[in-house]
Amino acid sequence: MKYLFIALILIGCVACHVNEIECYQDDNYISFVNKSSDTVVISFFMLGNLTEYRYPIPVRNTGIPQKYPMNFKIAVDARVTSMKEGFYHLPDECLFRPMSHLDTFYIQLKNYPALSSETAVLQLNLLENENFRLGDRDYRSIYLKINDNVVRPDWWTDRVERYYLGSYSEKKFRLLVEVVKPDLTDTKDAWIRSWALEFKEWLSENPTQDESGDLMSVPVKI
Amino acid sequence: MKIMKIISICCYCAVLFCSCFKDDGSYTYKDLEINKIDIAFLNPEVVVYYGDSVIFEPILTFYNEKQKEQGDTLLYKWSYHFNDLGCVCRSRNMKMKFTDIKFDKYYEGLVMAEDTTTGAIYSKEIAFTYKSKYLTGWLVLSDEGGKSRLNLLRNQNGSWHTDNNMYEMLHHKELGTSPVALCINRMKRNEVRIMQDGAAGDLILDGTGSYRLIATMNEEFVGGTYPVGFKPKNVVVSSGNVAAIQGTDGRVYTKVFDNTLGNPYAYEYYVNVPLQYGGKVLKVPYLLSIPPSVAYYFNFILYDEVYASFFMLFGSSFYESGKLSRLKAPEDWDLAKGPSPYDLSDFDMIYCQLRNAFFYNQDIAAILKNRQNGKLYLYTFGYSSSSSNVNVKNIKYTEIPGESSSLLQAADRIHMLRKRSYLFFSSKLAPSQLYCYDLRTNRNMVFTSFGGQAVTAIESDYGNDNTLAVGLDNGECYLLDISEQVLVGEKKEKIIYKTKVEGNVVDLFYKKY
Repeated sequence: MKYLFIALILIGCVACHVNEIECYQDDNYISFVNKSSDTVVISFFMLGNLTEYRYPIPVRNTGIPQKYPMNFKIAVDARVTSMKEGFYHLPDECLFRPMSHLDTFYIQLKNYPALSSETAVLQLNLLENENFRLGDRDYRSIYLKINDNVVRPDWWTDRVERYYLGSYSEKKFRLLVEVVKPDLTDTKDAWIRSWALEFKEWLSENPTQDESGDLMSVPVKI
Repeated sequence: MKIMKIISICCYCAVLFCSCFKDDGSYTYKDLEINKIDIAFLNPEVVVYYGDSVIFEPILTFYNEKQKEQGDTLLYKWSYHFNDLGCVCRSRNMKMKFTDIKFDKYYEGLVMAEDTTTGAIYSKEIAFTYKSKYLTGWLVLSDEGGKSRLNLLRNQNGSWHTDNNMYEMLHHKELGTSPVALCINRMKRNEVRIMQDGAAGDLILDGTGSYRLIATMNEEFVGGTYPVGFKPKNVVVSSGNVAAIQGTDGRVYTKVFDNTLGNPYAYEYYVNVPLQYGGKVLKVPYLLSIPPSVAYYFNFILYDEVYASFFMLFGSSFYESGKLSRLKAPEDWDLAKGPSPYDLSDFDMIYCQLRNAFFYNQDIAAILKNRQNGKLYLYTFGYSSSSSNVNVKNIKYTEIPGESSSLLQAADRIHMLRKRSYLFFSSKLAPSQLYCYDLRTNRNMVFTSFGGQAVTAIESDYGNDNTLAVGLDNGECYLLDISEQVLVGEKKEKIIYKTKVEGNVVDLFYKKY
């Protein structure tokens, strides 16, 4: 009986032992947020006929966020890139902000004449460094197609065609952007009507032919 | 053992025969409606003012004679249920004050009395509507030491009350500073607009009685800010698809809205391109409107100083909303009889007002000053607006004679009755006198005097044009009887109500809805 009590006390002591929990201490992995297969098309014209554009690129850290900023590396893949040197600029140092899984860095892009007739490619790759290992294979590169092309914008709907700007043509859209200089990121009806009114006034003083040879017109009422 | 077997077989058989037993049921029913009552109310649909209690006191008719003698209602479990509110009361009589409630909303409900002894339920449909005490009356905007004050003169149960500084009373905060003008609108949204120079900006208040702040007027412009240098003085909203905002400098901006396609008035924006015609930006001192309760109308008339011409701003259909047409006299009009609204460049516009509007028909009245002879003329015409018609009709051009002309040339505040042929005005020559000018007889008279205090605002009750409100620079407000009995009859008593608001009166308007 005595031995039984001793055995129980010993078992009790074992239960008092504090078992230190092991923390997850794995590496940080960096990746782009968009898959490299999701190519990004950037048109200087569609952004408002810009000469320069600061393009935001989000990146993700799939490790434990750190309490201090950590730098990460990106590089241009020269094998694929056709964008002229000097017309893009990467940040001198990319720092991932502390205590976050997401951050954004910016790449400065410059327009040049050839982009109105051709599309240049810029591929960026993430590189491993002392802070970050490379994340998911599909998210290690980003592929930018850059041009100065015009495409019919989504907001130039049938309704816009009927009430405000009339039929779409590349020449009309280019002229609208050149004359009115609209902020194409905000396409409320009232903005479109404002652009149409300004454009109508300009056209009344500067009659211009459309591609078809007809005089360009907009139906907005004033 | 044999006996045991026999007993077992007997028991088994007995069990089998049980299924042959016929159940006759229990027919000792309890009468569910033994305590039947009918519920009635003196008024099952009540309308109460905000801040007051909604009261329902049921009147019961008992079918049970014994209960009728005792008047026993304790055996019922009462409950009051309303749409959107749920069960709000569990006593027989309901007396409840609701705070988070919508004005003018018809809250349908049901009162239920459940007989706790039988479970029978007796019910009656009821409803209530909350109305604001402050929904109708004369809104008076005043300036008290630079602070904007919104006051209300209202008639409740036949007697007049003044709610001084109503906005602060309701919302416990200041309205703003440096008040300039007041305008109301009921088309598409019931709203009261306060225009003021102070930092609080120009406000849009809910006009359904709460006067809560809906937005500031600059937020109505695309981009959220006024065009450079713009300061609003008037807003008009059509029954159709256009609204226009007029600036103190004469620029007018429009917004078009199409309720059927999901961009209604309240959610659309004013463009930042001012009204223009022939490449010139219009300068509009008169953007004419009529209180919306008088009639629905779709297109606006405006007078522009750049062309010295009347224009119609179309708003009847969305496709052509915003289109401007320059009005003119009919082809066969003899210009010796009066000028065409197309070209009034020989005249100064002293005053202009829309008198009547009914859907597409409008009657316009103006006082013109001939630049050559210096004489004043009353100029009126009618117009049936459409997207293609530019011809006005019934042009009348009458000289305003001697004394009236000299007083009107120095007119400070002018108001023309919309349904009757009188014009009331104050003159800088005698600012505390209120004059009445009869448009039919061209006669002028002093209607009343205000003891040395200058008239700062004049407006009529557009419902029947029998009451004129006059505001003075010392804050006094008069509601005056201008019925025919007073103007041409024997009735002497002119003052319906006299009161005083804080500060000096800047503007006033009758709010009928």
